[in-house]
Amino acid sequence: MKMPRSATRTLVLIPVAIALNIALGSTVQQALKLPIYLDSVGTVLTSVLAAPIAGLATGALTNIIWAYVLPPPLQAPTAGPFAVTAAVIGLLAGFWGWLGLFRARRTTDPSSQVAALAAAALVALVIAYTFSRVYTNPQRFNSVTGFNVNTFELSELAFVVVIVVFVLLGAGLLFARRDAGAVLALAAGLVTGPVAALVSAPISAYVFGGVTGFGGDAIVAAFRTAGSSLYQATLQQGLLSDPLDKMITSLLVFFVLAAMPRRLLARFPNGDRLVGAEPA
Amino acid sequence: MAVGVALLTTLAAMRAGRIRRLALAALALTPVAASSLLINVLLPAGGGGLAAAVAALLRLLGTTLPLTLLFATTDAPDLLNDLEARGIGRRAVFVLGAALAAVPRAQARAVDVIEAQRARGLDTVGSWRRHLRGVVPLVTPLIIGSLAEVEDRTLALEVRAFGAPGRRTLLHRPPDSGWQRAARWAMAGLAALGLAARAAAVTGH
Repeated sequence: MKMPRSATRTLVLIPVAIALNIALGSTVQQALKLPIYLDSVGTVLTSVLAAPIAGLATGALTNIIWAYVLPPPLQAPTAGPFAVTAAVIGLLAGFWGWLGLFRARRTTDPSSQVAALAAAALVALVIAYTFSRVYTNPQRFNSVTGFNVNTFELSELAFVVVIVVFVLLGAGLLFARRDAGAVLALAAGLVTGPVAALVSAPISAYVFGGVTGFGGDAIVAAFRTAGSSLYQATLQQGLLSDPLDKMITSLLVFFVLAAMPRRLLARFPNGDRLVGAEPA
Repeated sequence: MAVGVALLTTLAAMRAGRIRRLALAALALTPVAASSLLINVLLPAGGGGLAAAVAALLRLLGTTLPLTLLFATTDAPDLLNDLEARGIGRRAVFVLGAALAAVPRAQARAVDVIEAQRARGLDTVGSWRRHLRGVVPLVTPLIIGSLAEVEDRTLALEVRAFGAPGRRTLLHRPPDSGWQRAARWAMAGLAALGLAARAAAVTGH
């Protein structure tokens, strides 16, 4: 069986992306000391460049190698069970890449303006719907989500923080940088976040008892003191941290891809969807 | 159960002289342990209490230590070679092996980038807003450097006929005694037994 050229390229990309994940998640994380994980940049990159399955493998292997194979100064045993989350993130990012959400677009282009507007409208719709269903009053909040009534204000605050960050970043990108493509990537990150949170919450609650030795523990504790159960508190923490982290990850990947030479991108299996039509 | 696994692994590690490595892995769990105790025991609304915190920690030790021991005593390239000889795909073996080799390289590159940017005046000590400003200058060069590496390695592999069909001949085979083979089967049997017992306990509830 003769492998197509791009298959070898994907196979080389996966291990390099795994190493990138670990380097960003440990060394750079330590240098910056920010409460974001940064450990899925390589996963998203692989998924967008190659294929969803490649991203899935990158995500899962990153966490397994990180948790069990590496020698101690780097070893992070808590990462192991979260391999599931990483795999899901990879799969989703591949889907976004396949849809062309990571393609560099020119804002002057009518089609990219339409795409950005459509994405913005869609996000606004989802936000408005969530808000009207969940956050109008504590009783509805409780009956729809099952979260404790006492965590209403805290949860609403988290929701607002995520939305404000999204709107600020989106507006900045659209009006200051005039970059419609980046807004689409940002939206992809925003949607990935809650999915990642839904997958992580049971792991973090039932495997770790809600504690992973990470900055997010304080947020979990805050939700628990407000009256959430363990599972609910980890979910509420994830719903705050994950969208923020994934938005930043998506944007980073988008900007790097946009800065890369088109001929380099076009060599990867998913290159066509990243490069798009030849600019006039 | 988790206690048993952790103890058994510790004994095995002592015999293999790798107790230090195992102890370090366990030490890596101390922040989690401290945080767990804090949240489960000290908080007024804490749910689980001491027992839950200890149980979660033991479960974590039970999963981490055996795997750590495996890679502490087994040379990863040896393991991968043997897996390939037993029919695991060459591509899977390559991905795993290359990933292990790439981690220290990426780590070194990360340190280089951090130092270079600090030398140019990047501030990673001040307020969190300054930290946030450091994300792009630190992350972008790392990603671009990694992609350049992908390019180089792909060409190198193509030149060496990585995509060529057929099985490769292995020159080096790790030693494997009858004793070791028996021990492997016994462990597989024990694992199956454990799973069965667990399933029975769950359905019996």
